[in-house]
Amino acid sequence: MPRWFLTPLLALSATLASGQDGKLLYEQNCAACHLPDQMVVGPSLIEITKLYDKKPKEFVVWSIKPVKKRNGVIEMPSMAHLGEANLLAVREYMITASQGLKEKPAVSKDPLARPARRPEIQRMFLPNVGPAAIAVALPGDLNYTFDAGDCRLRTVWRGDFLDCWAYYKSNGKATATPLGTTLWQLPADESLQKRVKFLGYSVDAAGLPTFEYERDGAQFREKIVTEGKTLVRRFEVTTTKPVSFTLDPATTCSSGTVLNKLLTLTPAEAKSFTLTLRLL
Amino acid sequence: MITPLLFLAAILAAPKPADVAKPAAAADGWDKAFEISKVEVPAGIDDQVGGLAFLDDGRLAVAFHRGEVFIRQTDGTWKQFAEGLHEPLGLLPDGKGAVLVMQRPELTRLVDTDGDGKADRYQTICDSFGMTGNYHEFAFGPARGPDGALYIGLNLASSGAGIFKEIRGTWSEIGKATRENLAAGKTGGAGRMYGRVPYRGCILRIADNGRGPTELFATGFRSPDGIGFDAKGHLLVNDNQGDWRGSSPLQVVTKGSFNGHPASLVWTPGWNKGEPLALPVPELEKLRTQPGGVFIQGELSNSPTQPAVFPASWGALAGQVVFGEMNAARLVRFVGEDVGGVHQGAMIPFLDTKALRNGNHRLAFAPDGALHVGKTHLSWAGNNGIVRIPAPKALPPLIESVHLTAKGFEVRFTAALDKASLTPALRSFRYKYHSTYGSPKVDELPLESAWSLSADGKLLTLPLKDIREGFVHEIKLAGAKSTDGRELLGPIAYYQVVKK
Repeated sequence: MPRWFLTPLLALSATLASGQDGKLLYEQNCAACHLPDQMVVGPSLIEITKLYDKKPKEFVVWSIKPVKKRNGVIEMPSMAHLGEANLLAVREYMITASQGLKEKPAVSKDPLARPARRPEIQRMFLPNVGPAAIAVALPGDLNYTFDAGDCRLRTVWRGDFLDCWAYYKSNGKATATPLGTTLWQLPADESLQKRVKFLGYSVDAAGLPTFEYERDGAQFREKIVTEGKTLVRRFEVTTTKPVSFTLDPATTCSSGTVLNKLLTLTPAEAKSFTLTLRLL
Repeated sequence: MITPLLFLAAILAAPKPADVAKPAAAADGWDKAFEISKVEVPAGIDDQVGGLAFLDDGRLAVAFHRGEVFIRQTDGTWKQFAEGLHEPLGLLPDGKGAVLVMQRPELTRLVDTDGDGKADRYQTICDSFGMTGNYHEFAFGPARGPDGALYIGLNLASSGAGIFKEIRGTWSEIGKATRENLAAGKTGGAGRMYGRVPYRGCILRIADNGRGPTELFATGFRSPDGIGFDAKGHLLVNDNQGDWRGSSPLQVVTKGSFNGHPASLVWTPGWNKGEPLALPVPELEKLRTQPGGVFIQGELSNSPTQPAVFPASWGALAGQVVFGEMNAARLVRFVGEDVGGVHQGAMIPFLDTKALRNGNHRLAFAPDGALHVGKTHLSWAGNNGIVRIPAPKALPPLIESVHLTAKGFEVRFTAALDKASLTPALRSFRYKYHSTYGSPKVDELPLESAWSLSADGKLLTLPLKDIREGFVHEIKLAGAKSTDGRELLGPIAYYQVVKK
């Protein structure tokens, strides 16, 4: 934008928009993302004041044609509809409103943090799984993730359950952190999604979930419990055809036939069986 | 016997009415006419409200940000019904012992099968839509239609973030940004809002109260937080100002309709026109269903939320619709009517008072008629907690309705107005339909009217020559007073003329 374009408008600004307009315009157009003393969606008025304290033109230019500047922060929409005079009034208000305020530090710890209730179930964005994940804290110190997208046990870890503060404090733009040590996990296989249908889960009196899903037309019920240093997956499958699993080295089965790591169970065997996951 | 002094002491010692929210400024007309009080919420939780409804037995059920559902018992205490849900953003009762909850990954039926007051079955009703892990892929609803089907709304992803490496649903190759780049957080070329897995940006219908098949019902949404049916069975879905949304629209949604945001057009059965964002605007304009109402950015609402229908206890407002608003301390009424086969109408500010506070997200009327508003912010402008507003014994002076006639508008009031206080200021304008975020008001036209007020003071007739289709018609009655000297509350109406 040529510099001469702004000059007459800057001269007009004092008569076009008053400080009171600045407050109203801020409330109507800016306050959803810019708080006085705290970064939310965009920077605080304190920070904006620092950036544009002596730079009204730059403030106007930025507001009319913002660009993406910060990682993980959405690009501000253009405020061109306000016009230069109003934007200057907004800037004046922002400077006034931030005077004497101190930037609130980001709250780094969850004010509602508590030990996991064991068992406990929490659906959440988590690392190393699909976005439709279900985390479960088992009695003891083991935790696992069941992925409702591919209907598989996906990760097992030992330790405290989850720190979800990064998710909870905002709008979901962060995954939660599993606390402790990962003991086991399966890689993604999105091709499974077309073979399965997640049906939900029931919760027993103790609070443990039993997952229900279909895979290749067979009806699965799966309950996961701990026995010593193992995780035991108890299955009840209703099927007319044999069902199969690819076994990883840590897993053994209670029945069925294993050939080249492929476990196959007849419909009769599939009615009730377990897979046992040995953990360190 | 109580002596006057003891009586006074008893009054002073009595517990104060529970946390009545007082406005920071002097009481305004709204605050005098309506009683706004806080509802106590369960202790020790993050009380951002994602869903709120009254069960058939009259108890209040609320879904909170961290995935809990609580039910307020008849003795006023809260009992946890469910937990562990992923960002519930809608709750609907579903018969004895069951509620439906829309969470990020699915629509779930929570059932208490053993009658102990806690859900023991979390039954997946619908998860046949994609998720990329992008934070903005919120899911809203369900709304139950007069046809017994459930309707849900699915957000687009936002270029404020990328996607997960692992996603749910089949990736659509239509779009400039590659999956690899988006998974690495590089959102260039994606569009400000994008939908690359089914059926982001769409309304889905699940037949037979969730027992039947799921179908794609309508396309064209960006962030349809408010979804519900009015008293006559129109499906009302609003959207948030942004790209392709000059100001937040109210869409009256019909089957197969395209409602304006192009990203979701790729989910149209048989879509063969490639990247919808690259289509000429006039072509999109031809495809789209115009909004039946517009939430005026700044003046009315920047982020409209759930609709609710006023019950009989609200007198002249019964059957009308009220929406929440996140950004301002205000609600918005919509008074719709059918004109030439199109449902359209007027938006009118309601409870426009600091005492209400902002963040007004989920609305429900109690069996006794009290409006309950659950608040949230999710790190945007907003608030938390629940407030209660009983139906007033008598309505204050309000704009009751706006009706489009062959000659102009008729504005009806809830009280007789003083003619001397009336100075109607009229104009029409519209917003641009374009990929840019938001829009100024454009093509403004000041309007003149030889207006008249009926003998009973309750009907203002505004003959107008220049009524324009596709334009908002603003009727401003600043300073209007009733014949008994009370201020007309919410003295402005914005009527969106789709058909005249």
